[in-house]
Amino acid sequence: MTMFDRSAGAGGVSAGTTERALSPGEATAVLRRCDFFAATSDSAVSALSAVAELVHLSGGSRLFEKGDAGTAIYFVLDGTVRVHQGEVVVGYLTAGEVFGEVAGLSNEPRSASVTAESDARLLKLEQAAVYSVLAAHPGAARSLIQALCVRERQIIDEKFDRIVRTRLLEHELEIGQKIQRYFLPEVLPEIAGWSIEGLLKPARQVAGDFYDFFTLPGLHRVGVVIGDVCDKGVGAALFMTLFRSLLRSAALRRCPAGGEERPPDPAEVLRHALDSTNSYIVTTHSNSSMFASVFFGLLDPRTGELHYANAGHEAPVIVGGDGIRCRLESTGPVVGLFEGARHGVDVASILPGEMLYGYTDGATDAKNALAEQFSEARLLETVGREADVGAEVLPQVLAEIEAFVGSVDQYDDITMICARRQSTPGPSGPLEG
Amino acid sequence: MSNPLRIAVSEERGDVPVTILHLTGDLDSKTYTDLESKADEALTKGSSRILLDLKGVTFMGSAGLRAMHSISKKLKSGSGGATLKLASPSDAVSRVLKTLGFDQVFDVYGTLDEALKSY
Repeated sequence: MTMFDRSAGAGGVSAGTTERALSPGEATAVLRRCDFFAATSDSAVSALSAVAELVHLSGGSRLFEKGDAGTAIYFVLDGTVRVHQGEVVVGYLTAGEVFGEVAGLSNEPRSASVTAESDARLLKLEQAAVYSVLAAHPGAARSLIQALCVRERQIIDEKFDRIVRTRLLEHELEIGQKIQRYFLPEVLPEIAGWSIEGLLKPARQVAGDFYDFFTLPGLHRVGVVIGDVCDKGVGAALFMTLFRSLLRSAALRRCPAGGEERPPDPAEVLRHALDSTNSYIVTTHSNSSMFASVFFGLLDPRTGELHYANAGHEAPVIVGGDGIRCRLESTGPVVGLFEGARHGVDVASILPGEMLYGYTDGATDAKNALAEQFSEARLLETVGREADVGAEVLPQVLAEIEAFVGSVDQYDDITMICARRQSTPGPSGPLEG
Repeated sequence: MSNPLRIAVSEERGDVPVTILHLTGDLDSKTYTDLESKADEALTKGSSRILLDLKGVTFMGSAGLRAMHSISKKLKSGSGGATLKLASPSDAVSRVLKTLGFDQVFDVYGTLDEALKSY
């Protein structure tokens, strides 16, 4: 009986020193201790150990690649091997563990790659040798089938467990998504002579974008907000709720309904909302380095006058019959990062027939299969065209973005707002909503 | 779809040693932690001045700016108290820095040479 001693390495890599081969008795002892052969007769295990080969694998060298045809089963004698798919590690195997048995006995492709984490010694059983032993020991075939069934059962249990955990996580995210919707206005303000629209299409279940429309009765103005918290996913969503709530709360506290005879200065309300929100995030959440770009406007629907502060957000535009008439550029840095940041306030006006349109960069940066961006030029051209049509603008603009992107996965949240002033002034009444 | 981010590190050994991280590819929500890790490695090795060479950056997302801010904070809190410096941004990256107000907080230079001379 011969015990082969063989070095192995990936891609021709030499696999270290050769050591004394195991004696058949030692190999039998190793296989005997392995759960995989627990029900196999001593004579069959002895026959298998006689045909087993000893393989030295030096640390870092590859035994086989995912997709390679399986032709053998392996047992770890000592050392550690890493089972992985690319960079993702599926698990680590140490002394006494068996691997590669499914592909090794079926000629199927290897389902994962195996690389030595440290210098390791393995026992290798070639498929042909195993089948030859099984032919001579019919009882061993039954025990091996039972061992494979046990392994299969473990794999199925793990798979079911993963499915259950994934569904629980999805359920949690669905709840989060529903709750987050309450941080967007459920009902948009009804303003005579104006039509208001807001749209948010998250890239994942939850979003870092936000928009808001709310009335400030004490000021006779409508707050118009669009913002984009940096990064994506759950972290951005948590901060989205914080930014949105702080901004709205700070603005409302400055202009309580009927609280003062003389209404506050809109510019002062905007500065207070942005500066106090910035200060809170900077001092309370400085370690997170989370920030938001925010456009915050206060619109007087009676006159179309719009006081606004733009904290590092893509410039909203005022669109008229001749296209883009005005860009509302940045008046200060993003909110939440820079201590003592101050934000300027500018004034614009929306004339009858014109529209204020704001967006987040998910709209302009949306890419198609050729990795081309939808782009600001294409977005504003679309907005200018749709503004003339008269129906709801934002669903039409989103449809154009989606048609451009095609089947490519959405990468970033897409959020848009618009406030369109009718050509014919409507009756001016109290603000509702 | 996106260009993977590659980061090469070089050391400028003048009167003031500077670690330069040369970025190539998209700096976005998928890659910003790579930048943070490389900067952390440099800080752990004792670098007190870090310069980001943005010449090869093809896309700058807000998460990339978040990483820059995080690195900047660590630099400032270190013994050197240095500010993070940026060099060679493309027009598109410059526009992002300007829109979000980062050009007011970080020192941004048109070329790597100009940035190195500023130390």
